[in-house]
Amino acid sequence: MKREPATYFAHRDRRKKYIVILTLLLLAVMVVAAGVGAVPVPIGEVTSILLRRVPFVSRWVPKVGRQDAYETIILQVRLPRILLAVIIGGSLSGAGATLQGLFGNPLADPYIMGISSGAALGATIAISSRLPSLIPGLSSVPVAAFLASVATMAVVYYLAGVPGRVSMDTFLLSGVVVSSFLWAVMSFIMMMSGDSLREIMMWLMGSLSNKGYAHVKMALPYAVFGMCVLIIMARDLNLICLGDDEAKYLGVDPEHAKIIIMFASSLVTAASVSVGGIIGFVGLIVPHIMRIILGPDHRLLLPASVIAGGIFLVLGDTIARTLIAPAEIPVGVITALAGAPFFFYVLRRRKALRLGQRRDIRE
Amino acid sequence: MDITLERPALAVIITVLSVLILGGHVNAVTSGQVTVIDALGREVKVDLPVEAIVSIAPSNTEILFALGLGEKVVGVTEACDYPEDAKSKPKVGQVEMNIEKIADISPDLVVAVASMQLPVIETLSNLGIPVLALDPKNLSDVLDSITLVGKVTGREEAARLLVERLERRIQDIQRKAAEAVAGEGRPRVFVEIWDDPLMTAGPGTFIDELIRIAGGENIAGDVGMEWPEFSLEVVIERDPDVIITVWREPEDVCTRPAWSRISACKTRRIQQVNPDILTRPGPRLVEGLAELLEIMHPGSID
Amino acid sequence: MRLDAFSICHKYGIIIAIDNVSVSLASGEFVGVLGPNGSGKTTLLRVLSGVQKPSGGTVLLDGEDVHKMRPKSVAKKIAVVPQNGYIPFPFSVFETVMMGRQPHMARFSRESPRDIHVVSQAMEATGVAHLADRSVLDLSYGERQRVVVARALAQEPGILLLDEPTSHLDPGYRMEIMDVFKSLSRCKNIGVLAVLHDVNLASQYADRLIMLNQGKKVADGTPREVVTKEILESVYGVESVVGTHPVVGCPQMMLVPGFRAGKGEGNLSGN
Repeated sequence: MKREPATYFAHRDRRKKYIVILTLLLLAVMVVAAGVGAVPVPIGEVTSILLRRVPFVSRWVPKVGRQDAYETIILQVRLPRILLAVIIGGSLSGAGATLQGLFGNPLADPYIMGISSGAALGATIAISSRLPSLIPGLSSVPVAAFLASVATMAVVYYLAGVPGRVSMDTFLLSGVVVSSFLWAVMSFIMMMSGDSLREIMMWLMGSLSNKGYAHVKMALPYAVFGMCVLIIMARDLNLICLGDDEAKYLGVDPEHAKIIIMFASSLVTAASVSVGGIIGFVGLIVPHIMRIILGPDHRLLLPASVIAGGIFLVLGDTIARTLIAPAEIPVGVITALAGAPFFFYVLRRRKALRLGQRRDIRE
Repeated sequence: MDITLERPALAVIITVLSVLILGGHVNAVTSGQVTVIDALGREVKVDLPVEAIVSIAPSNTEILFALGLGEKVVGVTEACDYPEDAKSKPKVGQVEMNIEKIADISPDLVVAVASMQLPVIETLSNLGIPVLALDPKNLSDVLDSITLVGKVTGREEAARLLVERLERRIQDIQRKAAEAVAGEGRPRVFVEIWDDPLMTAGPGTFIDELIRIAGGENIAGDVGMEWPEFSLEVVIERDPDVIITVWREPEDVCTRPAWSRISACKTRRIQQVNPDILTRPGPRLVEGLAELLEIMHPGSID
Repeated sequence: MRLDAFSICHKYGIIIAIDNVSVSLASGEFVGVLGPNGSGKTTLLRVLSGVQKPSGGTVLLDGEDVHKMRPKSVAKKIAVVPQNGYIPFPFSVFETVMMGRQPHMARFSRESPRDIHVVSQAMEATGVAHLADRSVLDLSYGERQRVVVARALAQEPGILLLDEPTSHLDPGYRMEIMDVFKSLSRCKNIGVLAVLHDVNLASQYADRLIMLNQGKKVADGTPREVVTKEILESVYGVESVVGTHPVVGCPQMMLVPGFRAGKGEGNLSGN
């Protein structure tokens, strides 16, 4: 009886420790990614360019080399892209962790509710009709994708019967139905638009190519808002994992909480799919790996998944833009290629870990 | 500027000339059978005179019309939008071809594209319809294709005249380009096929070849793919003098913050070119070539 | 604290699950609910706990309508031990029991030392303190059931509703856990209402028994009044002898095999 409080504080410290470690890792990965790319920029110049942007420090940093082009490359090309990778990776992974908990299903990912198919349709329409850009610096594609995914969200919610009593099964079903309908519409458009097929395919594979701060500004507010809601709802989510009745016995209105959680995860998914295309695997495997390492408590799992998702996608995108430079690989291809084997590795390791941990098994 | 006048004018001249020259020839074609080897290495036997032709690619339609066979064309695809007369022809498909429609027309000849349409080619051949597969990989292949189509349709003379005319035009452009390159060097060119994701034309594409012939240097000439997603930071580093867009408005290119320092943006040397004259393996590639020359070396065409 | 249900009716579609049942439960009372399968026991428990809004009737918790209260307010007063406490994710025992503190915590607050103290006590009371760091997925059914009970205790409820809490436990644990409930009602003055399958166990522990049959309340009284040959025969359709527990003194049912009232084929003992 004396050791329980100690156990608990150990838990809480462990939670803090993991978040701190992951955050430091993310920052390190971001800095390294800023220094790596198709154009080799000497490390001295990278640090000089980055430090010269830090207030107060800047006056001590001399300007070296051919900074103009390098500065554009690092500050206008790589940095916004890295930030976007963090936002998208974090959003998809956070939404994935949430939905896996909500549906009690390890196969759930952010795309399960059909939002990605809406975004894909929007993007397909924008690409095949060569819709001109409406906002300077921002292509028409993400704008169309975002509008279409929000519309899809509304349709799925309407079909599932929100607001009101809604079962998760109904939600999944209407998501699947709407999704397959939209994919069919999209395939039809693709079939009819011979000469934009390649661009559509590339978009669908997910890509952070040619993105700037305009895209960051577009996605960031939704991602931050949605993430905050999800992290606030983490404790309720823990209880919802136990089942609707149990959640209510423990004082959480499951209907109410689920609608808020679904809405927030849909929103972050819509925002990130719109700017990044359909980047697979991040929302599925990163939360899994985090759950294996950190356990199922969403108060730790959600923030950890968000940060780890950012790390994963920054790494993936760095590979995507350097591996066959000066060409690039759609980052969705990299995440799937790297993600699947890594996932298997972790699953196998988990088996070993769990067998080691288990003391006296069932009587 | 005067290139815009030149382009339709050239097309009209080619078409009118072809029609005039061939007008007398149509009836003079001897009947009998022609046998040629097509791009797939197949023996294609066609009974002359050819009265009904179906084209299942826009480039083929352009070749047929340029050879004065417009009246004989009885079926085209939805994408066949040039020349204007092609649009009013019966349609036999979009991306997928409607085999039943083609079989119903029962043409004397179908002109297809080897690289994309193998299943259709096989199906139609099995139905006993002669199919000529074209597969030009470069500009000189395109000229050979024109010759081949001329041969198989009994228009060898028209084809010879058209090819000669095109060759002369190409040599003229090559000469002017060489002069310009000797004077001002090869401008670095970036072709923006699409902006999200950023895609360009790599080696193996007509665009890459045309840029080279017209005295420019494709900054994506070292990529291992025909239509790669391209690194923006490499665009900035290689700093193109000229940017060519095909779908996007030139004004939109430089509003993207990272692009504003590129030379082409500073000097406003950004032009939009109709992708059809840069990518369709037909006679109009030569127009594309002329347009590229004018963009990369302004004033070299008088 | 009191829980009073007045003329509860509940239908699932056209099937009547509960038909005009009134129940009351006061602090310190231990009430057992008996009845054959499908007699509406679990539905009644869900209605009483507030998760299921009945088609008719009201449930008052200290005079306030349970179905109009916020779930969080209800959860501070009523705890439920569900029949199947399945937990799909590998939460640790400590984390699981700590979930019982949820109704007492503000949204942004962390667990206080008092929360931890309550959780520790709850784990002690159900004998799972030594499992605190184990994953609930690695526990045996009986251990997990006791974890769920500990979670309910951590809610510090005035009313405890139990849905067959002993159904998968062997006799030792069954008695142990029933003793826990009994002492909670005696010492902590908690009102306990337990849906039970085992007539004899209910008779041993409950102060009062309620017998349901086909959604109707057919008996409500002391074990002596409810566990009778006539009631058992009319409800379960069994021939039985009701005797007295030699030590505790409560009525105990002993079945007479081979007879089932109203079923001709079992009619061997000559009516």
